[in-house]
Amino acid sequence: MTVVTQDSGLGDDIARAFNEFEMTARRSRGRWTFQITKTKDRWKLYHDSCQVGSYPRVDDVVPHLVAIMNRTALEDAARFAIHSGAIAMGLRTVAIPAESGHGKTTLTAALVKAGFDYLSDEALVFDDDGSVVPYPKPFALSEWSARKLGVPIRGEETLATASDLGGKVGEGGRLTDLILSEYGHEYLTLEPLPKSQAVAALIQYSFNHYKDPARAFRIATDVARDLSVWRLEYDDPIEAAEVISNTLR
Amino acid sequence: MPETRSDVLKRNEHIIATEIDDDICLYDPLTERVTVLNQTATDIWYLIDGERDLAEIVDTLAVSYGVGVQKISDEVAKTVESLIGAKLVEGS
Repeated sequence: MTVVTQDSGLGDDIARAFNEFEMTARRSRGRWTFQITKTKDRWKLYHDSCQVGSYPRVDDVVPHLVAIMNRTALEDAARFAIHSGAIAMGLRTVAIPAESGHGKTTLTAALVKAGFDYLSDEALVFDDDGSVVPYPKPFALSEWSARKLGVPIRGEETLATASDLGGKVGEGGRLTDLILSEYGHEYLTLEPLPKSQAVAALIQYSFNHYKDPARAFRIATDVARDLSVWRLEYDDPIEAAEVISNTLR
Repeated sequence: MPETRSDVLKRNEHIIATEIDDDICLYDPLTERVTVLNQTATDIWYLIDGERDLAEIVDTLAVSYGVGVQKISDEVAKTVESLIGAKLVEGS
């Protein structure tokens, strides 16, 4: 993907947000080209020459750019990918699949803050051999989440990198643990589940299993055989991260 | 539900089944749905071979579990009904 802007400050913000991805700086009119321009008092975002957003403040641009780039990349991904946070420590690679708005990002960020390496807060991408490919997009934190994690707030949505949380991007390996999380429970519990629950979850939260259902199911079952599966019920992501850390170390 | 207990039951051919530990995971690529069977449903699934009818499956399980036919007949019938409702199995 290529992002073009005349505003050097905005360009620095975008570069910083994606610093933990490997990026090549080259101009291209390829399929995924984004352009940001300022017209009068509006910032306008274009995707391949089509306007996809118009914003009153420059601080609103980058979070929306991240969201659109993310959606574009994942819909077009050839590899099997699921909607999931992912972290790693030592030989453990942990997935936290969940829909948007169910606390996945905040919990993943809390785990990075607790010492896990960051792989993604959005997507778990699998190679055909079942190993995980990191997708370390910047965290998009709500004001509540940013405050909870001690990250300086920048508008309604704050972008943060792993290093902002005192952590770093990790390397992918084979998935070892899968945590099915439910936010909003008064008492924190973390209990084991049968491996078969992972198969259903990996398909349920997939972005693109429909492209090759049989292959997706094969990858899901191959991955599930080696997993420890957990159910997490929690209300405080910091406490949950501590319990997960103590259990999986 | 099979029209009668003597309707032969068979698995839908497009269903992909795989065993993980003691559970059977069934995947229907047409609905993109995964179904995980419990122990009784797994035993029933293995007995659905395109030749047995409901009555034979009940009889086989009764012997296997060491219980009377009456004791499990309703549960087996309900499970088969669920499998048919989920389009994993059909009665012919």
